[in-house]
Amino acid sequence: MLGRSEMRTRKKLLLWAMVGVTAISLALSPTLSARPGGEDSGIQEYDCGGSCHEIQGSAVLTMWASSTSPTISSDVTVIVNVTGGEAAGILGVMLVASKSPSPSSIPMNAGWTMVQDPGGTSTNNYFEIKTYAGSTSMQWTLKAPSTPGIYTLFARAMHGSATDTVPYFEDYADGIVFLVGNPVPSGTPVVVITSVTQGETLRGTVQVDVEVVSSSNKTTSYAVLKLGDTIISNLTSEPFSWTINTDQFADGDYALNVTVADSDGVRGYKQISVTIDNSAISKELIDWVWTMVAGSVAILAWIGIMIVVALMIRRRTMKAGEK
Amino acid sequence: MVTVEALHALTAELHAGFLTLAFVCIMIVAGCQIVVRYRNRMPKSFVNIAIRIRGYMEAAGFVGAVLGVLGLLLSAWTGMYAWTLDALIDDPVIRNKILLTAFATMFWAGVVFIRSRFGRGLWTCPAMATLYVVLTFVSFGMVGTVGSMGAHLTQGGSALDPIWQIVGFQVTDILELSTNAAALLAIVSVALLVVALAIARKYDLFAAKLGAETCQKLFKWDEPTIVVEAPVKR
Repeated sequence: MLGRSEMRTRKKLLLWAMVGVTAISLALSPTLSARPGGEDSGIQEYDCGGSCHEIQGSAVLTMWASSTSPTISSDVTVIVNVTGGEAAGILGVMLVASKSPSPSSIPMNAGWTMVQDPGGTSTNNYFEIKTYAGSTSMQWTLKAPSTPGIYTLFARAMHGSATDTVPYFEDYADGIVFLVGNPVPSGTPVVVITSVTQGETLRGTVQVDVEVVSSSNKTTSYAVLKLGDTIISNLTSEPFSWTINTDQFADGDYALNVTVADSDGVRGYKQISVTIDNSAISKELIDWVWTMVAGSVAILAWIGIMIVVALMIRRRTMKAGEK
Repeated sequence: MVTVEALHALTAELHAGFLTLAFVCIMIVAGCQIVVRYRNRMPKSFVNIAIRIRGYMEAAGFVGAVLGVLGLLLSAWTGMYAWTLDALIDDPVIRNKILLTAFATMFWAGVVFIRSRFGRGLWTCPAMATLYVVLTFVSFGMVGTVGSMGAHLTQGGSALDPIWQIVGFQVTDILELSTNAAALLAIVSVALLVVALAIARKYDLFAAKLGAETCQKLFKWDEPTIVVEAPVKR
């Protein structure tokens, strides 16, 4: 038979156990249910958006636009089709103006005005559906920028999977190039560098991707990439993509120039300024090694200090006890 | 043919398993010690179970920690060959993982050192037992963080991501100090350690033996020994 005090103790323990379990459940429930659960439609930057998706999925994205040479401030319809892939249920697609994880990737920050998103009632660049079953088509209506120029829109899909917890993504990396308000003379091929931006600092292995748009529908006979005075290579067919190893260049500012010619010999080019900074890698590495060594030394030192503190506390307590 | 990546995955599982065992065992011992210390307020069955299991858990925790540290070193070695040098240098997640693996190894080495130096008698001294348990907790947290980064590399995400979101930590942000700040941290830490060791020498602190003969009399915390019951006579 249990004594009264023992029964009381047991009841107290049971009560505290229940309180503990409830508190832990409540604390964990919002965090555990937050992922994978989508982020809901909204305004989002390229790359992570609301949550980072880092594994390339197998869905195929295609983009279509009602016009690639709209007049300024005219309406443009952009459709993104997604087919296949691992997604089952939640799938989001973002329409972005650049493949740079920054606020400038939001189309509205790049001159576009969002008129309507695929939901029909909002003006978000990221739209999420919860009923993906192998294919979907999303349509955005935008107002073209009010300044004549060459603009690009890209799309990225983000989703989970029915069979695992991997966060997948797929890009429509080529994007669609828009010649808004006749920015170049008719018939001239337009060059758009899609992977490197004006003023960007380059280090390590860098890929330079180029889209060529011909208003006269001529084929491109060649494309040449130059970095400073160095010709990287001359490509005669798509995709126009080069890989540069910045280790082969001294640190400094360079002009990155892509010149193309169509089948009639009409030439077009695009030139941007970039900075090569290889030394940043070395400095980063030195900082990293220092952090590792100093951190390890500090951890061992502080463990030693804490051991001495514990022994000191013991000594004092024992002395006080003896008295 | 076994790939280096597979070998690294194997050693990573090995150290994670051993260190999880060490963490669980040490935490159970801590729980048992509290139950036994306050036995008058605890149900008898709790106390009996605690007395029976704590000795085994204590030993298993120590063995787990020792093998876990060896596993960590083995994982670091295989990990160096699992990725190309470029990936090791360029990928911020891999760099963070290497950094935190080094830190986790130091923390767990501290756990092993305390247990090796003071034996299971450390549990009779509340200050040392607290340090041991807290250090184990932090060390396991560090290993968990390293595991989360590994999950980011192989799976693109980790079950700990909701926690990182709450605390505002991005696994892709490079964890590093400037060279000057790192040097200052190391110098200050070592200087404080030298002072601490001087104090320890002055009061002859390292001659202390923690155990039933010394601490237990005063602090009333038992040593978690293995209880061997006499066979029942028939």
